[in-house]
Formats: sequence, structure tokens, C-alpha cells
Amino acid sequence: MKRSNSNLYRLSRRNFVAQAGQLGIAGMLGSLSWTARSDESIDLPFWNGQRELVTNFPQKGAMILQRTQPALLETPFEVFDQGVFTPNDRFYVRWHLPNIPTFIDPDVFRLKIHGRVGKPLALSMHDLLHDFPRVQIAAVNQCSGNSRGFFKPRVAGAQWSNGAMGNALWGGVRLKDVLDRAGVDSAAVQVRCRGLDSGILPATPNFMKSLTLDHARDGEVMIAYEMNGEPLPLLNGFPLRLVVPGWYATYWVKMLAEIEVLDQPDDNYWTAKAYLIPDTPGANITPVQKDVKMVPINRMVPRSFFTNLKDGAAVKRAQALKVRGIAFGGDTGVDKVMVSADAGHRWQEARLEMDHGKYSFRRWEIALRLANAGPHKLMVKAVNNSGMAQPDDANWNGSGFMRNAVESVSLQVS
Amino acid sequence: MNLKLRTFSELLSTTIGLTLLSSVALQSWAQNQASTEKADIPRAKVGVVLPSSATTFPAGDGADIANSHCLICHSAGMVLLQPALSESQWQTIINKMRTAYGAPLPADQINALAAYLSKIVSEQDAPASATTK
Ligand code: HEC
Repeated sequence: MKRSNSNLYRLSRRNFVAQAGQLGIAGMLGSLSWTARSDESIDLPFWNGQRELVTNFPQKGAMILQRTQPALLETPFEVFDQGVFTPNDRFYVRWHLPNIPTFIDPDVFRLKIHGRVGKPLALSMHDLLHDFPRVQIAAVNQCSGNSRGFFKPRVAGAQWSNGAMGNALWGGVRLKDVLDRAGVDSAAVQVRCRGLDSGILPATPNFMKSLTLDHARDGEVMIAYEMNGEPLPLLNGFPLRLVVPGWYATYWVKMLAEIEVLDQPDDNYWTAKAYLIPDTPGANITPVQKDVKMVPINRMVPRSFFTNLKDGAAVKRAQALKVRGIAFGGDTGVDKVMVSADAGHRWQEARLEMDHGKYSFRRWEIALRLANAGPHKLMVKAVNNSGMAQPDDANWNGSGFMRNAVESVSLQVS
Repeated sequence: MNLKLRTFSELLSTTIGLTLLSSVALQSWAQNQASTEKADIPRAKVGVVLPSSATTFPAGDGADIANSHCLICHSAGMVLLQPALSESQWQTIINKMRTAYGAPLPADQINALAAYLSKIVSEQDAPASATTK
């Protein structure tokens, strides 16, 4: 059975190239920070980093294949040079469990709210669209393990490069408004969210994540039915996805179908035992450190990237060099982005482009003129509105979480 | 062993096959609905087909164990694209699969599987590895 061919969304290689050309994507391939060996494979810059570039996933364009089942698809980095919002069809994909519904009828779908509530609810899509205020927020969704492939020493898990992240304009309703409609009990402490995905063996715990009641009711956490003005792609959580601005994507439950209000802290595997980080600054420990207190992963930390420079590129001496990229502040906005052209001795402030809100990517730009011939190491560092700066040295922990070190590219000036 | 795997994957492909039949019709239906009013967009039906992977583990002592136990819940890419890990690191991972996720692998096969995986994964970084994972 040739399944991919019956997929209407699949573009043949030729069609893809033609369409990419129209969109100006083909011309951007040169700005990759690694080499694309052919149309169909890509070398991520770490050991065992060769990956296929695939177009056979529904509602998705060319993506880096990390795992077919359940899908792990990485956004090719050149996509981040094209705009502040990541297109839905290039947005990374990350599932844990293999049984993912492939057909959803939103007229039949119900979001259940139950547990310690006055009135359990089963909301239809119509209810969500018409009975609650519609809100929008621009927010970065980033996998806890984004950039795991760069950990030294290496650690097990999905071996992502830097593309397990994306920025979208999410539209939907406030989780607070939905909880208020159900009437939360005074004994409630946490809110547990569950999607429609499940394991193949009954022994595999269902994927569920919990937030404290206060967090769930902060007015920012939302139930999204729109992503960049469109319904979410199925692989990004159609028809509903939790949006937890400023927090790692593990909390952004996809195909959200059930919200349970708990009167005890959640002890399910995915909240209590998985996605734990060392309770140290930057979740940073040494590989031999033992007996570290572990806590659930939570707020994101600042990051910044070059998007139009290729590592190892040759540039002309004294020529004006327009350098640009993206940054985000983590759980708050970007205060400034600093660029160094001499391996971190001197730093210059980049110009920040339009602000789409504190949880969004922010594009930045700087004009450099490299006076001396020879190798130059360019570095970029973001500082967020809480004064937190990206560390010069990368953090390490056994799960490969929360990498956010200063990024660099090497240029050859002649 | 292999019998068990076959049952699982057959079950999986039957489900996918059935979904496939219905989803072809539904996709066209969904496309026809694309012109509905914006606020109603999320209410169009969506049916998709997800690709599957046919990749199995390379030949060697232990390949049988890996093929029958390590393709049940995820495709081979989860394993073959890992960094080079030691036997003891693989033992830890295999034990996690058993205790956290319920992988039905008998305890007396852990060491043989760990030895096999640490060998084949560390030999992965070759162009030949660029097959669907
Ligand atoms: C009962 C289901 C199940 C079986 C069987 C299973 N795994 Fe897993 N495995 C999982 C789940 C669930 C994850 C987490 C998936 C994710 O994060 O996307 C995982 C993740 C992994 C990872 C990534 C590292 C980590 O700790 O998350 C590796 C490596 C791995 N499995 C190897 C194996 C090997 C080798 C076998 C063969 C013994 C195996 N798995 C069998 C369910 C299973």
C-alpha cells in the first residue's frame, strides 16, 4: 500500500520545488547553517546527524524527519529567516504516543471539563467559537529538548538541531473562561489536560500534563482553535491545543479533549516523572553530579539565532554585511540582542524589529563591516526583560533540556 | 517473538488502511468546506494519512530481539538516530522502556539487546543510514 500517494497534501518533489520557487524559498537554501547534501537529505551538525528531508506528512511541506512513528518532524532552519511567524506547514511536529487519530469531525468532537467542578461540561466547537470571547496571542512553542543534538556529552532522546521550535499567532479562548463556566471547586489545586493520543500497549501511560490552578487561570493560558489564522494542522493538534505562553511545549497538549480539575497534585507519569530538570540555575549540572533535586520543567529562557549566515561562509573584507536573525525572551520579552564580531570581546546592540508581544519571536538586524582578513567568529546573545542573558557556556543535564547558550557562526574574511 | 510483532504491526496497518479509505473521501470534503466563514473554519472535518516506516534493525546478534520489541511503540529512527551510547546506557534505556512504558521484553534479554544496540548504533554515521526511519 503506497499511503503517501493518496495523501492530497503531498507535493511531488517537482511540484514542491516549483512552489518553493514561487515563494522564494529555493533562493534561501544557501543560508542554511549546515549543508543540504541533496534535495532529500540534510546533515545536522553533530555525529549521526544525517536526516531525510521529507514532504509526505499531511498538511506539511519539506520537514526534517527525526522519527516516522509517532511523528517527530523538525523545521529546516532557513524557514526562520523568512518571517517572524512560522508557517503552519513548516511548523515542527512532536508526538509521544503512536495512536494518533487521523480523522476528526469537529461537529462530533467535545472538550470535556470535569473533576472538582460545580458543573461538568462537554463543549462543542460551536460552543467554543460562539460562547466565549475570542483571544489571540503570538507565542513561541519550543520543545524542551530543542537542540539536544548539541549536548556534550551527548544524551539520549530525539536528536534535534535548533528547529524544534516555532512562533505562531494563536487564536482561541481563555482556559480561565472555560474553567469559570464549569465553576472550579474551592478544593481544587491543579488542572490536568489530556489529548486524544494514546499508546499501543495498555501499560503505556496516557500523555497528560498538569498546571497549577493559578497558572491555568492566569488569563494567558488558552485553548487554541486557530494557528496563524487557520485551523491547526492535525499534526499540530487539530482541533484544539493548549497554549501556555512562555512555557515549554510539553505543556501545550495537542488534540486537547479533556480537562480534569484535581484536588491533589497530579501524580501521572508525564507530569510527575517525565520532563524533570535539575533544580539549579539554567538546569545545569555536570555529568557526574549525583542526588540533584529534580523539578518539573517550566518557563523558557532567552535564545537568539543568526538566520541568514551560513557557518564557514566566505565574505569580503570591509564589505557591508547585513546580519539578521530571531530572538525570544522565554517567559518575557526581548530587552536587547547583542552581536559580537570578535568571538565575544566587544558587543554591539542589534536593531530590534516589530514587537509582536512578549512571548513572540522578535526579528533583529545589524550591519557589520569586518575590517580584517582571516577567520571571524560571530556571536549573538539575547537579554530578556527580566535581565536574564543567554549563558556563554552551554548547560548540561541528562535529558538534554533547556539549551540556550550563545550561538555563533564562523566566517572567513578575505 | 516475530509473531508478536507481526500481530502488532498488522493491527496498526489495518487501522491505517481503514482510515485511508474513509479519509480520501473526507479530504475532498474538507477542501470543499474551505470557503466557509472564517470563524467556522475549525469546524471542517479533517482526515489525513500518516506515513509509516518499514525500517527494521540491521542484521546481527540481537537484531531479532530489537525487531520484535523495539518497533512496537515507535519506528526504528527513535533508536538508530541516537548518539553512540555505551552498553550500560542502553541497559538504562531498555529498562525505562520496560518500567515506564510497559515494553514486554523479558529481563534476560536486556544485556544481549544492549550489546547489540551499542554496536550497531555507533556504526550508524554512514550515508547508508539515510533511509526512512
Ligand atoms: C511500550 C511502548 C514502547 C516500547 C515497546 C519501546 N519503547 Fe522506546 N519509547 C517509548 C516511549 C513512549 C518513548 C518516549 C517517546 C517520545 O518521547 O517521543 C520512548 C523513547 C525511546 C527512546 C528515546 C529516549 C527516551 O528515554 O525517551 C529510545 C532510545 C527508545 N525508546 C528505545 C527503545 C528500545 C531500544 C526499545 C526496545 C526494547 C524500545 N524503545 C521499546 C515507548 C516504547
